[in-house]
Amino acid sequence: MPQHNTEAAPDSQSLPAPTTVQHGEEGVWLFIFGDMMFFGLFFVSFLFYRAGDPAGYDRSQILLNQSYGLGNTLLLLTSSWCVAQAVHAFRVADKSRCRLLLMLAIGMGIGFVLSKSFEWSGKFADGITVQTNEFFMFYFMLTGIHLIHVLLGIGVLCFVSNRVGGADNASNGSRCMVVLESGAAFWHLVDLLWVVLFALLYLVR
Amino acid sequence: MQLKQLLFSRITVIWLGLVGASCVSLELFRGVPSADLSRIGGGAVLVIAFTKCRYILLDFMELRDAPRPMRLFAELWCAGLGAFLVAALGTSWFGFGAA
Repeated sequence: MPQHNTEAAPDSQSLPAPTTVQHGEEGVWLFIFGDMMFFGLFFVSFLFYRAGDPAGYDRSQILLNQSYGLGNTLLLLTSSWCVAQAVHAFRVADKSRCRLLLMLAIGMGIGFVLSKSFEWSGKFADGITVQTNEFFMFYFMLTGIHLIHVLLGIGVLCFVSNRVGGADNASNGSRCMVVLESGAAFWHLVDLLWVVLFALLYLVR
Repeated sequence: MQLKQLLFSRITVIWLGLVGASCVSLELFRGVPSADLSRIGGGAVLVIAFTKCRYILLDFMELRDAPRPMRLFAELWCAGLGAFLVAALGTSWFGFGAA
């Protein structure tokens, strides 16, 4: 259940203090923030090494398919929309719509995995591997680590969807809300990281 | 929950904005031919990316009304990391990073 905190008002004449709400588990948020820091270091490292050979990085970047990158971005953004709406649907006790939206998000996640495997297999067919040069080392490493997050996220959404189906009373309903909010936050993290990866790997010159 | 509520919500407006911003980013990549302009284009692409991240954090991940440390982390990650990367791209900070 979301934890509500009301910050202390300076005096009784003041307007009511704003209420803050923490959605999801604290441990999940710690993991999410840690992961964001970890990826932040990756992003800085990428630009650091890029500065050593910008022309070489640009030549390699041209070999990527920007349309694939945009397609993947739209898939993840739309799946995030589905998950955010699923959380809202659960709050208004519309479990069937919640599950439907989660299933749609899972489907788009699977679409992302398929798209990424097509993209990678195209690169391998062209003789481009992780050892081709520094740019492609970063490309395969960063998209690979992100892909692991996507696969984990799909597993999390499947688990959450299953829990939503089993939430049949107020007690396990509130527990289910925490699980749903935590799972949703993780899925949005997957989307968030891809937004920066798309910009750095596919578009920044 | 009505379909109308689902489609005409703040989340949907933000999703549309994020989709539009992604398309604009790709057009910035395609529409910048010269090396000098590409650096500006690259900076703009990063600014758009971290602005998108802010909306994902605040609205999709619901940190807009989160406790102050959580909200602060989200804002600092977007503004701090985003500004650092844009500055590093636009200057020669990492010029010594030549392999």
